Amino acid sequence: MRDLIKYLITEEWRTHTTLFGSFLFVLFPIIVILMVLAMAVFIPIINLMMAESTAMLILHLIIAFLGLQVGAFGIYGQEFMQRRFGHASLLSYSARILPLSDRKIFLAVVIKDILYYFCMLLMPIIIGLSLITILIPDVHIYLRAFVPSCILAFLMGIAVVFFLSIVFAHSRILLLVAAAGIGFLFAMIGDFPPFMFYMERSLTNLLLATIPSFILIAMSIWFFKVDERHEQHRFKNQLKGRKDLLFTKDMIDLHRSRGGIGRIIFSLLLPMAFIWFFLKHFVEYLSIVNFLFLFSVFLGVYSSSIYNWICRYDTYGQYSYLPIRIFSVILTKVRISLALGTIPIIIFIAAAINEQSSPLVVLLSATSAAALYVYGLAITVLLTGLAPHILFFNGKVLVKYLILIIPPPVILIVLSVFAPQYLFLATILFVLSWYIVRWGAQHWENSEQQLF
Amino acid sequence: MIIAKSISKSFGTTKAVDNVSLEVGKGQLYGLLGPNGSGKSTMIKMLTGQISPSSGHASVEGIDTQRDPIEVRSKVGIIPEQENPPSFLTAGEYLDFVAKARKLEQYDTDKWFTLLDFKDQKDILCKDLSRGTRQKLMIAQAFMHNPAVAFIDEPLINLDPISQNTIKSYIVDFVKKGGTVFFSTHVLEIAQEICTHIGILYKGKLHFSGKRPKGDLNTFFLKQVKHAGSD
Ligand SMILES: Nc1ncnc2c1ncn2[C@@H]1O[C@H](COP(=O)(O)OP(=O)(O)O)[C@@H](O)[C@H]1O
Ligand SMILES: [Mg+2]
Repeated sequence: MRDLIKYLITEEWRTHTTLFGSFLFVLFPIIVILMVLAMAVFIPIINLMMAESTAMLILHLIIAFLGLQVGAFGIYGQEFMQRRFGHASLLSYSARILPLSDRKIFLAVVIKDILYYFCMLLMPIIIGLSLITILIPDVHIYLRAFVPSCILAFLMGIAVVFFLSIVFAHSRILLLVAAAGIGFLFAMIGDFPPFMFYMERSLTNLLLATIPSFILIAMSIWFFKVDERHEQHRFKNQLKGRKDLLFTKDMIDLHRSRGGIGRIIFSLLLPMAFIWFFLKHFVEYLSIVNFLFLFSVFLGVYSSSIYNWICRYDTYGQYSYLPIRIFSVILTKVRISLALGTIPIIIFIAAAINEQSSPLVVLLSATSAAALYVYGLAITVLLTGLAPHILFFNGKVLVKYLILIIPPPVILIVLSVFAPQYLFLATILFVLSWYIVRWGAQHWENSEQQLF
Repeated sequence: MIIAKSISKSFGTTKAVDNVSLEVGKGQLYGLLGPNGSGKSTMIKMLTGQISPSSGHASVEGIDTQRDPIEVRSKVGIIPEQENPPSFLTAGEYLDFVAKARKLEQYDTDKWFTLLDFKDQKDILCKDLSRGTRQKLMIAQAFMHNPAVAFIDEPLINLDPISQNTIKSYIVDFVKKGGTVFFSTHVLEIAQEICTHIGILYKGKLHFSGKRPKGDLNTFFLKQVKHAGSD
């Protein structure tokens, strides 16, 4: 077991470092640290806005949110493993040569992922916050409590989404039950346990902050559905007679892969729900921004991550030996992403109805969200081609992404406050994105093809 | 005709292929031999325009692989090292996919299922197919447009004897009918059995290229790489 984890980590390290060198890979956590440090400029504002304990609660929630982000192993774990191990061949092969069950291998993958994100994300955040505490006398984070509570919050985020994603792989109805159950549990506790532990380091609080996570993770591993080695899925030919080859293929992938579209919905709904509550809280303090508008901006930018998901279904290596241009593959994935834009549109409609905003606000919010969505896609294509899930961990790519992605939403938010009549300028982004996508796709066509 | 003129490929500091020149004529069954990591796959990827050489030139059927990789790939048939067809297509759909990607006007996928004897697997997802069946599928994929040249990276590895035989005889047949095959392997026995010509690649350098010598290939191979092994 330990060897397996070691092997997986070595493999992960090798994949990344051979792809873009160890320096750029190590750069990633450093950038995270720097970003956290940059956040320090907001400290005076935050201090004005809320009590220290509220700020700490929000901080814990943000960290739990990061856990939510990385924890959806269950839902793509299976295919991930198939891809990684080449399904029947290597997965069962390794299960046969190593005396290990599929479940154990899965557990190893999960542990590796947790360790991986712990080092890449959580540790730099903790280091960054510690530096802030040490450097800025205004900040009173009690580090000896914060480090463990922070880790517990992260773990809790991972555990919740991990469990839900496993349940989801079993049954969608069960998912609602499980989600309601977890919601109810938190409502009963009435607070966020890791934060409670930060505030008061008692044994009860420690148990409250740890035990649920471990139970959820244990249940997830237990419920992990193992694909029978000999299970063979049959389908009628859906490709014959279709014109739009790559598009049809991607749609088939989406339908037939476990989770499929459901998993994309899942990956959007949960974070957006979190952002919803977070922004509600925020707007209460900062009433000059319109809530629906602010939410739409986040929705647009965040939803462009749909492209990352679509790129996970296949690898270019699966047809690099055919006369298929990367250019066409990328454009197809962009078109699929646009089609799946329906999901954020539905989220937006729900938000708009809930807020009962004026038609003008709805229109401006929708336009901005759509423009930012398309722009986010374009920048992702430009910087990562067909490998966003790998290249975003390249420090240089990440920096470029942040530099390019942040200004438009910030400008739009500022405009919405000071000069809403100029918000129509968001439409420029549509045109700009179109050129960026073409340019980016061409760039990846011409550059060395990495066969992920 | 396959021509490589002093091609090299480096990955970072690794020199995977080091200044290799070779020629493969029409009707040859050329086996590129070498242990794992000697650069065979890299060589095939360069010859088929899947990656571009760091230096040097290669051409297949007169087409420059670097200038026009898509054209090369549409002309030749390629079986990559990892038989990993798109996971969520069925075997039948996959062949349709390939035919369309190759813009074939007329094609008959059924012919291949019959020929290689796996008709009953037609509607099964590629990811659920056994390794042997996937190899058969890759054969069909590579030959369905009737190419003049085929590149095969490590055929017959980990296959059961029956599939091995089917595939081996298909390759031999293809060459008999005038086709050219370039394949790589680290199993000398296969080369001994079917090759007309061989190349010996060791640590990225080509140590021999020409007609397959009579007699035991093992001894020949060791003799060729002996002085390279001592450094
Ligand atoms: N994409 C790549 N990135 C980095 N190194 C590579 C890559 N592909 C191959 N190599 C290295 O090049 C050498 C030759 O590999 P390969 O061509 O696969 O050999 P073979 O097919 O003969 O086993 C090996 O040392 C391998 O690690
Ligand atoms: Mg190889």
